[in-house]
Amino acid sequence: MEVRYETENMFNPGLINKQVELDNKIQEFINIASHEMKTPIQAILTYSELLQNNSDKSKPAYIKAILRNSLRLQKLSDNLLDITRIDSQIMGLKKERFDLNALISWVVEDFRSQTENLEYEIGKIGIEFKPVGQIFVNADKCRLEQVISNLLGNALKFTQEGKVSILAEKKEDNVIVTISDTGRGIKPEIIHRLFTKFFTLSNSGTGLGLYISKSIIGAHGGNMSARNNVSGLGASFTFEIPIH
Amino acid sequence: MKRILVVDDEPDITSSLKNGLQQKGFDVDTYNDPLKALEGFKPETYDLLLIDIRMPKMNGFEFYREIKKKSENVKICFFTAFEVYYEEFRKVFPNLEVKCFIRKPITINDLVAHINMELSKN
Repeated sequence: MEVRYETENMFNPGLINKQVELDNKIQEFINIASHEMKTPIQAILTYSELLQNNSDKSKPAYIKAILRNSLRLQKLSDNLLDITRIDSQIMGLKKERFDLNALISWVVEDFRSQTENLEYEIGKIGIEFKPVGQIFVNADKCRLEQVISNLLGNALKFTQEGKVSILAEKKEDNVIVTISDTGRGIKPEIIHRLFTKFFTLSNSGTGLGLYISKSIIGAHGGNMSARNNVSGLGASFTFEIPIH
Repeated sequence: MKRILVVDDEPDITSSLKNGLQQKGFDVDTYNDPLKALEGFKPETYDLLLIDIRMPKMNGFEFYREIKKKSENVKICFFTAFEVYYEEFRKVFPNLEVKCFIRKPITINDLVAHINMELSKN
């Protein structure tokens, strides 16, 4: 039976095309992931060499840069592990009861404190979040923090001027979180591909963030979507999860 | 003193290379934005250009094309973490000989060896 199945596949142009398309995607991903690994390694390598020069007065700055690039590598390896967990359907959630507004405030403050992070140019883009009371949810706190960080980071990356706003609201037994920006918006032809694996518009990214975020929200029994703002300026990403 | 221009969108790469190459006796300018690098480029200023390939706004190959219009003889090395650079270069410039590709990550000493080798060519 197995031999016949393979033979049928071999002469099915549709399946062969799909396999070629998948192979190309994997090849492209390997190239991008390799690029994303080598860039911070290059920075770590050069800064480490510079540290060997005892007379250099910029040592604290070099150590900070090494730490920054090491964390970048750690994030990449975490993302790759998450992809494996999602694809193997073994992503477990550690649910606890917590205030979602407090978590969002913490993430926002964390982003604001990264004033040295040149990638986002945070100083130029304001982050607006005005929580109203508390919204308690029963969810995986670390995973939701990952989702909010991903969406906020993306919004800041693609916004040249203006602001990024976050709104969390309770609606019956669900909580809805919307992150809106005043960036360039999303081209209609790519909206349906945004949450697919390896899709990226950025020159510094593997295209895993949104795929992982949507999978985390899916694991909570919720959903995630993206749309351009009615005002014609920027885009909004929304996720909705059950409170319990 | 030989003058090098480094164009790479990663500030940590340009900053560390500038320090590293300066310690080896080079005079180094850097840009993180290829468009600004192109705007500020003056022919006969640099002995060699070190260019990243994967950059926003303008990739390294497009940058190469524009720089060659301004200064045909300037020496250019691509400095890349990409694995498929050769094939990609061939697609964009089927009639051009690949001059110099340097792969990240690399130590400063090895980078300097590559740069000196390129500078010694006629």
